[in-house]
Amino acid sequence: MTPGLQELATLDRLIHEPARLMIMTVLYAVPEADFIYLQRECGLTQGNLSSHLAKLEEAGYVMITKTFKGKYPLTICSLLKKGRDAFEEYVRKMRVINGSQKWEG
Amino acid sequence: MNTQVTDSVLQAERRARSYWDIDGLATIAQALAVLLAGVWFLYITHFGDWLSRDTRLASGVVLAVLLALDGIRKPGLIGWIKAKITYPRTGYVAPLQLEGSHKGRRINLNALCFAFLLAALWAAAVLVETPWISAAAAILTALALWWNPLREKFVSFDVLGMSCLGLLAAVVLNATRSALHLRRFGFILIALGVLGLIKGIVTLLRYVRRNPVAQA
Repeated sequence: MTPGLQELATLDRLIHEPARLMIMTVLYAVPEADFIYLQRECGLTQGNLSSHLAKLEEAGYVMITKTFKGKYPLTICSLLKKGRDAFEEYVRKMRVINGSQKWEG
Repeated sequence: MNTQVTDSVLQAERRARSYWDIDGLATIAQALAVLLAGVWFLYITHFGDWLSRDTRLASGVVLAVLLALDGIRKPGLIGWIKAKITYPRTGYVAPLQLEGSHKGRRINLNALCFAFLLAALWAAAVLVETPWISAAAAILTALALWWNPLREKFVSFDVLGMSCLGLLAAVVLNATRSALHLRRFGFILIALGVLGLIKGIVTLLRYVRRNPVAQA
């Protein structure tokens, strides 16, 4: 097995799922964002986003807090250190895989 | 990082950065500050007799600092208004501070040249009696401050802000010797403020019309 292929087997499946990858990408780029913003950026339905966020929260990647800005209730999500590290590790592995996908001949 | 994912992160960061201006509220606040500064300059030239030179100088410096600070993205009052208008419609994202980005904005040569051009125009507009220079200075600054393509791709806002601060201080220091210069300066600021106000209000109206309040 080539090193690139071996890396494929060790990819974080929680992040590798497209919807969760989108969520992680947005949260990696910003300090914190609320549910509506994430929904708008990722183009997910409410139920879909809720279930993916719940999985990421369960894994300790994302922190979800309910708060108020004035009278408006906000469900704020932010990436935790564990999630940030996991995302960076995922990207590092993807780079290794991409690097090993050069066609010869 | 993997190029594709890195691009996505940068894109998400760019979108979050421009999100602060999506509703036009920040533009309206900046424009109002500029407009008030312009009115204040006209006011002190009109009642210059009972205001001492030091008071005028101090007020000019305070205004310059206020204008410079206005460019920094701090929630404060705008955040309070956004909580009523923006967050229920398109959601909330923490405003990205200019210095806090993962990949900070670079001060490029284009931005410096542009800031220099603006500085020269403003100085000319205040010191030379040619009306079109004043109009050009106001319009060009309005474009740089509030027209998104220029703001995002060409002009580094912090460079522009710093150069404006320096320029304002220099012009105020010089102009306190002449009420005429101060009055010209006031008129340019008012023109700039009105342009920004128009842009901000149009953006706000368009935003509210296109984004109804999200249903829970």
